[in-house]
Amino acid sequence: MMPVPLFTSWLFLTTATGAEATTSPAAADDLANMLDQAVVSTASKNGEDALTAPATTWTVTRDDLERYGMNTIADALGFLALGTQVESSSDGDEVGVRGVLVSGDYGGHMLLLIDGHAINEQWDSSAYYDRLLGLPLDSIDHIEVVLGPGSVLYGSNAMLGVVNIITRDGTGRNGVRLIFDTDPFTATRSGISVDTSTTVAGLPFKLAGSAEYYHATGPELSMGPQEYGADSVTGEPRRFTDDPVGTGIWGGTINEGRLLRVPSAYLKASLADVTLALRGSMARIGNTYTQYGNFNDPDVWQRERWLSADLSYDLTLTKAIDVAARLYADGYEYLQHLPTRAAQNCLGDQLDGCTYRLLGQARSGGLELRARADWFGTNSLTTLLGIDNRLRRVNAHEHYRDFATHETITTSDYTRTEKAVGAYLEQTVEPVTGLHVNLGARLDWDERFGQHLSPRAALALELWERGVAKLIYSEAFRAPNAYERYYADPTWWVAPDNLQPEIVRSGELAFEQSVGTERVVLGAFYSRFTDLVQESSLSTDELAAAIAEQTLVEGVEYAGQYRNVAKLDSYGVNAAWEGAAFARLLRYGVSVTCAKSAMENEEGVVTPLAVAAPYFGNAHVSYRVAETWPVLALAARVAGPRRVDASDFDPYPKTGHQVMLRASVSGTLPTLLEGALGYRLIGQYNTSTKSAYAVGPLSEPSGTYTEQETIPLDRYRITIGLTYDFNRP
Amino acid sequence: MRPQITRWGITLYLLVGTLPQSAHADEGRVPISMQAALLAKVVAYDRNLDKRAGDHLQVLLIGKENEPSSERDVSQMRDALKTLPTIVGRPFEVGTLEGTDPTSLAKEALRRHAHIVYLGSGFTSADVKTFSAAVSGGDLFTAAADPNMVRDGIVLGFSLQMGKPQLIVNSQQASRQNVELAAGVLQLAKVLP
Repeated sequence: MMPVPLFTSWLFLTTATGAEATTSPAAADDLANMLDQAVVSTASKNGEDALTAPATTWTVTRDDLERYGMNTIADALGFLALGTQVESSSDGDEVGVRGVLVSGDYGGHMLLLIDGHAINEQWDSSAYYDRLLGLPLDSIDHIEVVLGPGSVLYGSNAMLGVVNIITRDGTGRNGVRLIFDTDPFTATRSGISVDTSTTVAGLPFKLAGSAEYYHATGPELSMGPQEYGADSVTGEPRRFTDDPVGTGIWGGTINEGRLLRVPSAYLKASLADVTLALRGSMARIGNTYTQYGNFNDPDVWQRERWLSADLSYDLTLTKAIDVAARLYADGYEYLQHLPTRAAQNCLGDQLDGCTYRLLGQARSGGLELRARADWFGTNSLTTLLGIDNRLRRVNAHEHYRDFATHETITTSDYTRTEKAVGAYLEQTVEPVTGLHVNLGARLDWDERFGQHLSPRAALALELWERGVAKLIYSEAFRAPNAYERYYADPTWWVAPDNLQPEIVRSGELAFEQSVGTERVVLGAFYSRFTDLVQESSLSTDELAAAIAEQTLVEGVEYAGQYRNVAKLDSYGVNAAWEGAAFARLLRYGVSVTCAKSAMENEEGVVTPLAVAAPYFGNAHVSYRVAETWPVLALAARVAGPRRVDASDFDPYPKTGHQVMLRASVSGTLPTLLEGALGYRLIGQYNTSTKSAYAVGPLSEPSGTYTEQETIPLDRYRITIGLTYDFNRP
Repeated sequence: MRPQITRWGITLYLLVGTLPQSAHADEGRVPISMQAALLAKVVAYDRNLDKRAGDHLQVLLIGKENEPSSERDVSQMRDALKTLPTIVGRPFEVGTLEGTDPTSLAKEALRRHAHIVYLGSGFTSADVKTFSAAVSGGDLFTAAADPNMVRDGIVLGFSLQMGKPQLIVNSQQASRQNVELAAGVLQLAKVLP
């Protein structure tokens, strides 16, 4: 017997050909396939067929997010995208691309955009892909992932790639949606979304807004015990809690410290050709298993606050020329609050412990102007010219407050106002039919580091129908962030005078083919990263000079500095296949990346890059039984054995294979109270509970501590979610 | 506070309303080459196409005079259609028309017995409503570069949803213009009542 969906598919193909003289089932299928072609705009700031875009791109849609039970951007990248590896660290989920993952960079090596607005903040370059992103999940329309360097149009941070989150514009739905999710006993998410599109005084008006509140308190984790021993200052057993007598032992159960509260909101409104986007979020994060603070102390926390605004206007000036202006502003604040009873974490005679506080702030605003000329009005010869002016003010303050005396000692305090200008030029030409040439370069001038040029050259050759070969050379950079450039502490740290941008140069050969519902991507890549910033020790002579210049205080025996000292090579291949069957009721996809990456440090020692997996990938399959029936979906992501970060064990420890499985059932119940009730049930299983990040104060063997402990991962997770749509006709 | 809000609202409206409104953001719409290919596919599912057209199709591209974006859309559509050997297996001719008066443009489209009419962007909501009213009762398939025009009476428009093209169909206007799209196509489209 023919299965129901197959029959449905057959029925569609036959009934769709009512005009038998002019159509065929194959033509009907063609139309559905054409509607499945991705249109991307991130690679060249212009809407274009993903197949011929000047980069390997991957799109994850809102439908994918809902279908596979994705809760964050990191989920989407890890489970559904090509070439991206996701790892869970104490700072949140980190994302790597094609075998390069820079642990502890707070997302600074990848450029994250929301509707083209750069999210990486101006103090420490942070951008998050998990709940800390501070963007309501329901505001997302789709995510464009551009693999490889992307500074040619966007400037700093686009070393590994560019992730552009495109939000809903108010046209997809019309009404209000209420949202409630829960991971039973540990987390809840509640939110509201509003969408409308109408005409105001003859002008089209669209509005999409979302707000949500995420609150997590667990689950509990067990760590240690790690027998650290004596405090290097007091000589007594190191104190890891408020107990007056230290035990020297770190560890226990974390039941106070996994608090996470993230309220966030995003609004996008457009009236005719003027668009306003506003984003605000705040995150308070309990981080009670850092070795630098008290263990399981709810008073150990970080807070991040974000506010951004973007006002843009597009105008077709002449038949050949479009111009656009974008005015933007961002505010960011980071505050770390770290009480510790360990004297060795404090200053001088703060023997009873201290509270360490680090405040970083950035405010910036700018204006981007760009013009695109379509010389023949056919898109066969276009020129894009743009200039982006930014003014920013960064400041930071670090101090230690003595528990006993309440005296506060400031160790670092700086404020800088800086200007930055980026000018870019992109030329596209189609000299013969099917050959797409894209040449571009961006020159960035920044008071923080000087100037840098980021070129890109891309060829896309249509070999046959929907079959394209691409050859791409691109460069990108990451400007030193304010923390790296200006942080100084006269007791141990010297701010560098001449810190240069990190640079990556990358070559890529790719082949993409679409046949019917199927799409295949194959690629080979090589990237060389130079001038990578790492901590470096001052030599004896440098130390003496710094003391003489009063950059360091008398008596300092060790001091460090950020320097451009490391290099990194990475090469490998990636492949992806995605498709659909049975009138797209069945969808599936698989991707795999194999890469070899090695870091060369200041001393010339070459080691595999920590946390970066030599092979990783994902697979997903989903099936919608019928329009009103549930969607059954299964997604998996896999990472091969990888080196543990921040461990001094010799030989360096590795974590094993990791497979994360996520199954979900989702759908919409029949109409209820003139609305629609949506539901989703998600279950996740992790084959390994060991992450690739060391945890605790011990990073080398000590006594009975012979194996590096790593941050534990949840074995199971369940999410139950409900939505209710009040739709207007 | 209310008067202040009203003042802000008026100021905002004046600011936006007095800006030139001919723009389109290419980043957020379906490339015209894709629109051309989709249009050629969709018209095949008009059950009345056979009756309307003989063995030859007339395609008319209409741009708003002195509206650069409209001229560009027409130019790009003309170029994109050139790459198609046939539409629904038939040879076709492409004509262009420019003007500002929607009633005159509609009359001219009907006079030329166009089977497919494509409107470039730049026409106001009122323009499109007038045009659509004028071609109601006629026998032609209308499409537009700007998806907002579908609400005002164009039969087919193209928008981007989730990074993919989406068809938008005005079913009432389709009936008025004797266009009857097969159910299978409507299943793939967002149908406005």
